[in-house]
Amino acid sequence: MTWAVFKVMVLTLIRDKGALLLAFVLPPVVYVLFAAIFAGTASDDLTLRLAIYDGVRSEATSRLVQELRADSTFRMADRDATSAQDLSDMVRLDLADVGLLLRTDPAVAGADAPLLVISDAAKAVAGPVAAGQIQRIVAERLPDVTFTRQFAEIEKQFVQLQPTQRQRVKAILAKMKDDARAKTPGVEMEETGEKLVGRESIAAAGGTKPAVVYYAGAVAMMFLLFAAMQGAMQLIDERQTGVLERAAPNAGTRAVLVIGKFIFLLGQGVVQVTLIFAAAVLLYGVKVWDSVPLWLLITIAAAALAAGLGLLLSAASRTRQQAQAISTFLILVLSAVGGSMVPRFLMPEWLQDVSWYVPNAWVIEAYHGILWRGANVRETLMLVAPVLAVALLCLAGAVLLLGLRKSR
Amino acid sequence: MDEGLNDHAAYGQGEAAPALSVRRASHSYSGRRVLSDVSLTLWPGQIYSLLGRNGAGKSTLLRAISGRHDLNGGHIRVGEKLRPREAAAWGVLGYVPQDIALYRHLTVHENLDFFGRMAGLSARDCYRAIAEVLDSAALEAQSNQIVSSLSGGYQRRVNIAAAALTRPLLLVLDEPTVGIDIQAREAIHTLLRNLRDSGVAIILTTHDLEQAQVLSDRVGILDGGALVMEGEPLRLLHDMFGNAKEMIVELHEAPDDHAAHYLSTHHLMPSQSPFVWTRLLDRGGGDTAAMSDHLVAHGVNVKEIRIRRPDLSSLFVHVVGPEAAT
Repeated sequence: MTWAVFKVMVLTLIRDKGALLLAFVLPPVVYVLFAAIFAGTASDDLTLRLAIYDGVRSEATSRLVQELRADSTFRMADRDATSAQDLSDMVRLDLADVGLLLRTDPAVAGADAPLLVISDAAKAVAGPVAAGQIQRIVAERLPDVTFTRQFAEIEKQFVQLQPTQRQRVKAILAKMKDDARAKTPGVEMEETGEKLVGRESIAAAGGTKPAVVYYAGAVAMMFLLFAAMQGAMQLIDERQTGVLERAAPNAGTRAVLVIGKFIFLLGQGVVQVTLIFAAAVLLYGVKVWDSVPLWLLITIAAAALAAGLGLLLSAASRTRQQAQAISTFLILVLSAVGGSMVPRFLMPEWLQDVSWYVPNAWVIEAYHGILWRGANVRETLMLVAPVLAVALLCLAGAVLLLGLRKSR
Repeated sequence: MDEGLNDHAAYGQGEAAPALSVRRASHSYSGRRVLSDVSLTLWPGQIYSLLGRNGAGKSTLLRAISGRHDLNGGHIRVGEKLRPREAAAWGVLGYVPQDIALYRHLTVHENLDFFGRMAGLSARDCYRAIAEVLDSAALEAQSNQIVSSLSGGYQRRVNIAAAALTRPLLLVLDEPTVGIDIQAREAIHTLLRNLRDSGVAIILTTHDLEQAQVLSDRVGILDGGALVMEGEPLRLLHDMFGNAKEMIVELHEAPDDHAAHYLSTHHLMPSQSPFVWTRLLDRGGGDTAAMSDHLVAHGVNVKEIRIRRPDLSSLFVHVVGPEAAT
């Protein structure tokens, strides 16, 4: 008897592709994605995009720039900054995760840190990680520079070295430099102190916590997908109960039906996102008022995307169970890769590249752009236009598929 | 099928245009012929029942008439010249699927409103049409009830009412009374008669031959995709049986081979079920007491023997054979 029950369960599972997908494909896929993402956040593998502005152009800064470029810890931004302001803008516009401003010669003693790491407050972890990595590179690859700076400081603050002592120091520093060039680190320096590398964070006006702003968009996108997929599945019920055949027997009336549903899901999505952002405004003081038109544009595009995807999936699925399984898979993967769960910059490089093909990422970046970086209309449209295009493609696909599909 | 049977004048329809014309309708699925040169005409204010065994082609023909299916051959016109697939035909054609094709979580009124609007009615016309169909279907009291809370019979009435909203010229129903009790069936008959009396032409499929006889102005019997007989039920019965009567032998249990053989030697043939055997009494032999004695003496477990006038089920068995009767 037990065997009979077991056998039925096995046969049911084997013949239900959706259940198979959920049981055996989704878990490893989600694990691989999460492992890739969180390994990036928790280990030395975090590869940040670095932009540099060398305002000094001394021998030491040139060597440092060279070493940074050669080190695999960082990915270089697509271009170097042309000024200190440009460097800040690159970070603000997300053209780089962190910026390194070389503002004085690190080999020369001074009150301020010669190296300044600039990061977006939305990427809280990026600043300290970059600063630490730069200090490590300086310690390993340019030990002579830090010693030179420290000796200069000692001479300045405490005592002048005798000429013979100075000669010996120079010899030691020369050897350190040679060792570093030969990639055989001489003196290990664990800590070079804040005096060498300083940090500066670019924050949005209003003092809102960056994660609060980021996750308003990220969570909105994920739940838009959940709600739209669920709502769109009524299409499958209508097909199975005969309502579709009765109410929309031909391609023309089916197009009307799909478009009607699209408009509803769009409206539902706008209300849903409005509620999420209302909570963000009321509870956390997220500044939406200054960018309401752009926010509305992004919201409409995001809701349209979710509605289009949901309808396409429902039109393509034969049963509600099938649609349910595929939608769960799709939403989890899109949300993980698109940045709804973890910010994209924390992902490994390959996943960041992949995520640019995921519409969720465009929506999240668009929201973050207007609410955090103060992105302008053009920058926002660059992200929203593809979202709308995908949404309309999905809608067209749903209309086409449902028109071709027989009722049951 | 002789198209003369469908001749306009033959049914006394005067100068009115037919609500439905089917000419030489043919269709094959993967080389298997399911419809073969079927022709029929239906006039406004008539109820036409399509009868036939499962697989006889009823559903294919009905779906083609309702514009849900394209045929390989022949043509179908709704009204004077509309093809069922044409958008204009949707305004004059109502379709009632066999399933309860309604939103079960909505009220009766909300359902009717949706289907009315989808059929192109304006809000005002839809409101008026809903009031009318609720009245003719005797559903006013259920108007604000959730469909899923209604009995099967009421749900079927709403199912029909939804198709009648646009005052169609032609109403197409697939098994409108399947799975409901006699009382509910009578209510649906009343609704269909009301619609017919208002000028709607109705074509339906059914396995319920009793329903077909009491409800239909005309019936057509499909067998193997061909329309093998068509006409007014009483006229068909008269043509087939004249004034002959029929003996019905009802058994307590299905006969074994021996009993079945004995029944057939007395010209009895199985009817709608293996428990019911019939014999046409066109040459006498109507002594029920003598027949009962004979049968019981030979081990046939007789429950009842009676004499009646042949009905559509008798005709059906004679035309398509006993195993096809339902």
